Amino acid sequence: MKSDLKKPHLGFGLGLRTDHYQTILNEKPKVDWFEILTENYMVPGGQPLFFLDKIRELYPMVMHGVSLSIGSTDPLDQTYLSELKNLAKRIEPKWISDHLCWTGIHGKNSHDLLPLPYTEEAIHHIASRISEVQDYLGQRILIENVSSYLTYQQSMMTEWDFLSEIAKRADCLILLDINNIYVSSINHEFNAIDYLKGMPAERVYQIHLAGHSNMGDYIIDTHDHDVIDPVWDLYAETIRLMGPVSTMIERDDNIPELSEILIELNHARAIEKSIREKSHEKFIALAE
Amino acid sequence: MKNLLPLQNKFQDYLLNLRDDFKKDIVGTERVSTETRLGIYRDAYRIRLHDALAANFPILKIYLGDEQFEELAFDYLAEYPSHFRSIRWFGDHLSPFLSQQEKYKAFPFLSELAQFEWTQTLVFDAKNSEILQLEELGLIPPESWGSMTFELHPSVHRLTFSWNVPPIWQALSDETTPPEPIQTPNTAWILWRQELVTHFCSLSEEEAFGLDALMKGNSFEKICEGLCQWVEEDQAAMKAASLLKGWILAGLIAKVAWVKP
Repeated sequence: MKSDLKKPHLGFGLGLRTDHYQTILNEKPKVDWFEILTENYMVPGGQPLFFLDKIRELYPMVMHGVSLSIGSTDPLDQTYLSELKNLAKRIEPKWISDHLCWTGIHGKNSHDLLPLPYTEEAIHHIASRISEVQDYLGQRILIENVSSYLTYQQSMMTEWDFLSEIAKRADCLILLDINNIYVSSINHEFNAIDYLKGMPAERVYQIHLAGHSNMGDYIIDTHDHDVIDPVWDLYAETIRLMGPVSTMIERDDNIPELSEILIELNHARAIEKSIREKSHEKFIALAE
Repeated sequence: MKNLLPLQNKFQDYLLNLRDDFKKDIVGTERVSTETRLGIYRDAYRIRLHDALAANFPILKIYLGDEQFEELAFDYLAEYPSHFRSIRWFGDHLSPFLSQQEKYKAFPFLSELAQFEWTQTLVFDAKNSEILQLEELGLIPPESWGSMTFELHPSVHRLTFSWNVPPIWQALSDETTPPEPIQTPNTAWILWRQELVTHFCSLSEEEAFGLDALMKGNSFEKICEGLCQWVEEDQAAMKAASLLKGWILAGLIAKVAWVKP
């Protein structure tokens, strides 16, 4: 599947969480789009689909899954793919994403985003599976970098080279999680800016921003805190390097009032606006 | 998959069974050891699945207390690792697990409490459906009433409990002191969803009979015949009509089919 890489900019979005359903419907907050957790809506009916449909009437959506297990050595789960396609038909998302990871083998699911060895064998395996998924869905998907806490002896390259090569071979898109880059840069002692510079900017369609838990010697990606300043700085650097990218705040635990998350989202807007204005000033200065 | 499959095998074996021959495949650093790095995954796995079970069985967790529930969750996880794409379905075997395990056999009501909570999750996101309106019955000629058969709303679940688990559940849910577990042999209960709200109630013997007969696809006439165990023959049709009206008003029935005279 080949298509041009002129990326749409959806603006600034939020992860849709059950705690906020009613507030969203009552207050219709200034959010450009919502990202849904795909598996939460792979149910027969009831409240989840009721609220999904209601909120979809008001906002564009993207779908974000945790169970594709694209890096697993198990065959792709055709039932899952079929349900994914049906849900996509229902809500017509701007795009569909999942993670660069595996979640289990032999039919079992750890429900964790487990890391992959950065090897040629894994690249070949994953790129061909992404292509298969994209052909089945009839659209390109976004693959997200995960936080990780270990490196395999087998790994032969950096994570960013691994992700870039897979994206190139599968002709897929990238969901760049800035917090995950930060977390992994601390856990694996690499320079996060090198990661950003190693990304094919034209494929990065979406950005996740989130908080984490600092354990001292290492960091765990818990999505239960506010975004910290070094992650905001990294976000600013990303926008400087790649230009504006559809951005959202991802909060999965210890979920605050919607108004509190909107403050964070507005902070992301302000960062992007400031960089855009600065780059415009530079352009004018050069033109004069 | 020369290297990837063995690596994933070892990783999963570590997560599920704590096999530690996986350590040599991991790079440790001075700051964070291999053990710590693996431990993060092991802990995350156990906590995530424990939390999923706690989300599906919140009242069972309150009843047992955090410590005992954690023990139960890890026992269950060891026996039934998740094979679901969505974590929402993790816990489907908890009720039978509780009734089969030696450790929990002395507390038979726990299995029923788990069954009650699990069924509520099924009701919560069961398929949507239209519900039959009382007026639609008025359009059916009286001579066809005997032939009527019904389809229940997909959220309807019929349970039979030998213990007073719904009152225990309700009290804990309302944060009041629960009654002592007592035996209530063969008490019929029904759970269903009306609009988006889950309901449950106990059924009298004759109502349970009527609803069960209806669920099996028996005609209204057959239900009337069966009700003669409890009421006089000339009262049976009235009794069945009254039950039917209650079920329709409660939103239990999705459709009616009948034979033209």
